[in-house]
Amino acid sequence: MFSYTQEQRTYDLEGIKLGGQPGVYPTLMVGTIFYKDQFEDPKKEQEKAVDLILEQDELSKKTSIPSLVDIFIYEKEEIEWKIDFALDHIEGFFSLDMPESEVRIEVIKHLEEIDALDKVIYNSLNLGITKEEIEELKENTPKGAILLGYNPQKNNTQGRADIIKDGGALMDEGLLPLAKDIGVEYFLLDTAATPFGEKACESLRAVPVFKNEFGLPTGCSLHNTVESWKWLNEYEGKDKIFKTLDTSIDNLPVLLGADFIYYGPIENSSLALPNMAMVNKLIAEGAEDYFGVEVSEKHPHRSI
Amino acid sequence: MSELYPWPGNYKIGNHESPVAVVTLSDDFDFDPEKVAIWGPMKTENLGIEKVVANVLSNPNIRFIIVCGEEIRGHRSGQTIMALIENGVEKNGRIKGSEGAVPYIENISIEAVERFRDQVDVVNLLGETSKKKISEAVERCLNKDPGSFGEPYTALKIEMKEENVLEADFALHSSLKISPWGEISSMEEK
Repeated sequence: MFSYTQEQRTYDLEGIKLGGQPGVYPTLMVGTIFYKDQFEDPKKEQEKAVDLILEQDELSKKTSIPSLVDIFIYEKEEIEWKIDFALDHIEGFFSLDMPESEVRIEVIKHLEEIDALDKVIYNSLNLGITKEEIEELKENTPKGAILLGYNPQKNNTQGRADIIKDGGALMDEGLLPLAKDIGVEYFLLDTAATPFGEKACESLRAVPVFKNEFGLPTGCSLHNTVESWKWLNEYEGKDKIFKTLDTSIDNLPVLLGADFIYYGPIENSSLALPNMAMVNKLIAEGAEDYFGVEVSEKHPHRSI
Repeated sequence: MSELYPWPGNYKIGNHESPVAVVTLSDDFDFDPEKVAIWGPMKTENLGIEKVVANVLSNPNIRFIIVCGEEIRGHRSGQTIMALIENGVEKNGRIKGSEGAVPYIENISIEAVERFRDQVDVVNLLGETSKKKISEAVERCLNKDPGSFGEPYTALKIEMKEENVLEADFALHSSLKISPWGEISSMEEK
């Protein structure tokens, strides 16, 4: 549907091409594992976790939609076994989702000890980063990082872009110059999903703005907006429609050119990846016809 | 009379004359509506706390906030609201002493935050999930009710002024130009 005049940088994540003009490469879908509610005792249910990863892998093969696994780490005690799990069961890159700075610091140290920094997409560099974390990251640098454009002070599109570019009024420097200074090689810009009523649409609007301004792979995780929707959570028919809504919202940023989607719990892969294959086919046909882009070889436009 | 609890959220309302509000964090407890003014979960260390602050300010009878239930992992919302009451905020809106991921107050004024801190005392039951123990804390608060804090205070949401897009000559965003063919480029400087 759209094409960008700004040159778009692409990355090669060990065979997964990311970024570029809409329609060229399929959307990278990232499914998260070890959310609090996914398992009763995650450490004891690793076989189930492996099955979920294999299911996502299988769907990637069937649909030509590439995927990564995002591993959620809440506490320091979980770091070692969860990263061991990732290295044992995931080939190539994986994403590590760590809300707390203290946990992130310990993760970096552990990744350095086991020589795994080159496998990791660090999720995320954000407003909550501490000086200690920055120093640790400069010493031991993950290959890729999500740069989260969350700006609680100015949460319109411009405010989100400011956090990436120069930090706005909240940070001394923007996340992008900071990430470059740290030495990260792959920058994945996240437009930061917010709940309805908190400028939810701006996380969508920011997709073309980020791609136009920074020319870097851009994406988001709008499933968070669906999951925080009060009406839906109280709706008596929620169970029947939830996964459909949780999945379909991801179509919107991709239509505007988003390169990657964190689609939420990995058990939704059976819906999320075929859905994205369908959307990618439409976009690739349009891009080929209107803009003459060359759709990549590994793309649902060609394979299914 | 000003509107009670003007900010929407996932909460339940009881007796507005009660001095007690209960933040249940990740849990979803219920309380005797005669004894508690307002209660509900609170997920985030920024927007969630702002809603609690604004709604508590709308009812000056509320003088205690009981923070209980399992902490929100990652966000540390329970620790953060207690840090807010204890320490307040820095000039840039960051909640002092918070261990949360992005602990910022941005949508309500510093004045409102300071009034909130003066109005309420916090009861720290972080991690407590025993209904009996929480109910006992409610009773203790009821027994030492210092009375109303005065007039209700309306914490207005700070809204950013946006351009009137109905008059604008752009689509999607003021920084973008989209050709009739769908080609996106930067809007030229005017």
